Amino acid sequence: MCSLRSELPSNCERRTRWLKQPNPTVQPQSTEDNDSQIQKISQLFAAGTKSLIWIDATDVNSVRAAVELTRAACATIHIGSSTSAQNFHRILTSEGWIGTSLAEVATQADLIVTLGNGILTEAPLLRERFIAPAVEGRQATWCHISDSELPIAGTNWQEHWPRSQWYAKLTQLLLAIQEPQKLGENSTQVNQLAQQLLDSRYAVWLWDADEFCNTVDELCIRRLLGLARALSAHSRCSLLRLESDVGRATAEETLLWLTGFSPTASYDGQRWHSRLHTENYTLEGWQQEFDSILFLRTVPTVRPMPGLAASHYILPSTANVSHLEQQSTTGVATCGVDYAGHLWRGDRAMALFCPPVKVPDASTPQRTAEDVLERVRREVEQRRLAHVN
Amino acid sequence: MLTELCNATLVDPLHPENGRRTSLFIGAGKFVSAPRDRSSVSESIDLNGAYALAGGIDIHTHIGGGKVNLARLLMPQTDDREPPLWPTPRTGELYTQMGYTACFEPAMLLSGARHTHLELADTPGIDSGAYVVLGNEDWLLKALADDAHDAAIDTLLGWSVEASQALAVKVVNAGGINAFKFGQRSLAIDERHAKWGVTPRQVIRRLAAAVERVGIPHPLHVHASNLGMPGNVSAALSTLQAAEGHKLHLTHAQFNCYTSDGPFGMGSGAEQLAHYVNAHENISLDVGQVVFGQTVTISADAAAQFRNRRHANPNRWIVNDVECQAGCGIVPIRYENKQYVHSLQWTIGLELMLLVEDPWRIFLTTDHPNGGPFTSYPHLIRLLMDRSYRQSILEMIHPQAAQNSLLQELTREYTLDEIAIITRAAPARILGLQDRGTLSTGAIADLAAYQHADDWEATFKRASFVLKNGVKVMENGHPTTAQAPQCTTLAATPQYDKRTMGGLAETIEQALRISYQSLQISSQEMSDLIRRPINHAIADAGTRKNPGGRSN
Repeated sequence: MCSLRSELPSNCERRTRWLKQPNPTVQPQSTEDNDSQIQKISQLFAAGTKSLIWIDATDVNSVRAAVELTRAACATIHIGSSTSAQNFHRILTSEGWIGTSLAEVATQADLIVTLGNGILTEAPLLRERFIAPAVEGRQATWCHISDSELPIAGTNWQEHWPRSQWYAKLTQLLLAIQEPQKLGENSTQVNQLAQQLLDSRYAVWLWDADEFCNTVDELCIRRLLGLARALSAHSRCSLLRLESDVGRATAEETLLWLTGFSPTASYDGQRWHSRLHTENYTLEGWQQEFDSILFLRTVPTVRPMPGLAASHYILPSTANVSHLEQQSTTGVATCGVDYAGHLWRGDRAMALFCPPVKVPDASTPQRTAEDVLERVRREVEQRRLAHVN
Repeated sequence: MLTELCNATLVDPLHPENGRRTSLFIGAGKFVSAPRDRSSVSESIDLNGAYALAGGIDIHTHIGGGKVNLARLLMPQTDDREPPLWPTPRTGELYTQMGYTACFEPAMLLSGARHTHLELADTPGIDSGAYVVLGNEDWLLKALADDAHDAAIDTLLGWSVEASQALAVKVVNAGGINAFKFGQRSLAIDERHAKWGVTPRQVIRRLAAAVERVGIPHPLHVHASNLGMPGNVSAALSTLQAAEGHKLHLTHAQFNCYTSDGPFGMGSGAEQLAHYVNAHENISLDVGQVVFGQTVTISADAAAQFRNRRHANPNRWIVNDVECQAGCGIVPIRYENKQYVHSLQWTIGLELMLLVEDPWRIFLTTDHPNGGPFTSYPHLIRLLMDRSYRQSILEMIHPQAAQNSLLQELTREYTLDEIAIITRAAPARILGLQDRGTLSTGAIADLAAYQHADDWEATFKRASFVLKNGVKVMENGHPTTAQAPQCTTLAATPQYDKRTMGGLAETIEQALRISYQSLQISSQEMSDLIRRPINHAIADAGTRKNPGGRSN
């Protein structure tokens, strides 16, 4: 969550990447353009149109407004999520979870295992803020596992696991945990880690959520859950899936409490429904199913936009939109930069208050996505009422 | 201009015209005296003799926050069946249909407060509030281990309430959730924490006293240790004794009311617990009644939920540790009326309700959704008011549970007045909300009217008419299209010495790795961003007698 706030030290990798993005090409819109843009967006939700609001990354109040628009238009709302989110969703709804949060890592864990190639780059302050206090302050042990042999400063030891072997390794580990009496008999590379896990009081596994995105990765996560359960019978072992796309995490939480569904919900005029058949949709699938798609992003992010071919885009005015037609985009204020909003932290343990960091000036966009969506909703309702009358 | 509700049969022990068919007058969102000049009445609504009660107040219901959202994920809504947990708009709608106008989330973590308030803000039609969970933070346990002065504990508690915009303080398994991280799978009332060396008794005693010192109206709200375990009624009694005369509220008492004798090693401790409560006026409790059917248990007591994982039905469960403050455990459960323990739980809740004599100190809850959904309150009201119905249900449960239950002999039937007390007047009083829970002049015009039906369950299932802040939100049993009134967040204003905050701030920041200011929710944030403005609760300045003469 830290990544893009201006008060951070300049060695933050994510912030550096964000600052180095090409200059934006969306200019602030005049009031006249504002009205015509509202009209144009409203058209996406004309009666008889199968409409989709695609939420890429956004804050709580923007999701609230998007849900209200979805209700008014009897449309569908979907949070564009990677397959990693779908994997996790399947695991949780079929087996459950054993989780923890970042403060527990810093304060309680005596064994920290970071898994994967992405965790330390996608969460660049993780080591400094949470792992180092544990290792240096409380003599916790940190093991980093990846398929790279590059040394990582601060670790007590590293394991080099080729990517294709992660599932096998985790399975060996689980078997070793389940039969600790046999640890000395078989010489496997996981013995050291297995022994550390068995000796620990409170072990935590952390990984970057988006790195585990295919079907084998899903099996790896299930193995981790098995490990956590096996160890929790006698000590404590918890899992922490860290999400760097905080706007998406925020949107999922908000949509879930408002509709009971996530990441997709449709409103039929009386109630919300899930759309289970869309679970494995590709981008083409969404484009084929819906007549119109409104794409929404309100938070600063270094992530590239998905190749969705949406009908219209609502984007932060600082977004790089050089590849989009200007008339299909609406620039809005950026959450946490131009206006205050709530965004979830990557461990989902906290919703953070993100005040604007920029002093308003002539270049500050006057409207937020919430403003736009609210106006579109009123326009849609008026049109539908006129149609009925 | 005033609105008149005529032909209302008042059910409000605090109102001088209780029990009579009369008119009520509403002006500017409050109940007002009858005007001398009737020309000031702009609207007159005939309630046709319906029972008029103040809006219902649910003192303990898990309807907002991180663990509630996790439970929604674990128990997703299917298209053909209502889930045990509803999305927030539907929750508000269901409460309004039942005539409830204020509800309180009892387990809000300091770090999760924003999430809780956001969900409550999106629950329409009800004023809301939350109780901040304390009792397992490293910084508190350390302070207690160091035998910190009262002022330090007051600061810690007062700041937590103020920062999170809480109404009250709850302690969940005092010290036990933290001890779970150090290999202790349970923590008895006088058992020492493996690291900090403090006992749950110490935690409860010091927090109960601090709550009173800083002026929080509601007593320390206690989820006792060893929840769900056979023999835990002794832990419950020890917990109540730990208050040492300070006011204390024992929550979902049914789950802490088991002896270790009886069939299958478990029996009812209701008589013991009720006897203690009847003899000690500093104690109140809400029951946590079990209702047969599918539900999901949600608790900050991660240790207890880990223990309960074997009973998960369907077989999936979640246990989380959260920010060194508490945990959460989510375990689905299906209460079966032919299963001995579930039947026993059902009988115990009702025994407690019938054995505790003072209706001002016992509250009707299911600890939603842990015992069952809040939508079962009308059914429970019927069980309390209609002994023959109660007996008919008793015949359908596990025979050994039925045979051994005191329900066979208990003849008490709750009166309408008592129902109004346990669901309206008493919750308002014990939460320190002087402006509601009654139809008396000056109270906010939250009202629910019920047409008498064939039985009490049908009567209370759906209100025919509901006012929220004097605005009609239900009429003739259906939601109105009127603009819903702005609901508010009820919060306490603890009095503590802010000058001693410095050391505490550093301790919290070291533990949470975040600035303590970022945990503080301002009133402006509540109104502008979260969108449920703050309304500070008014402490109960003195006793408020009912016309029946019992002082409370």
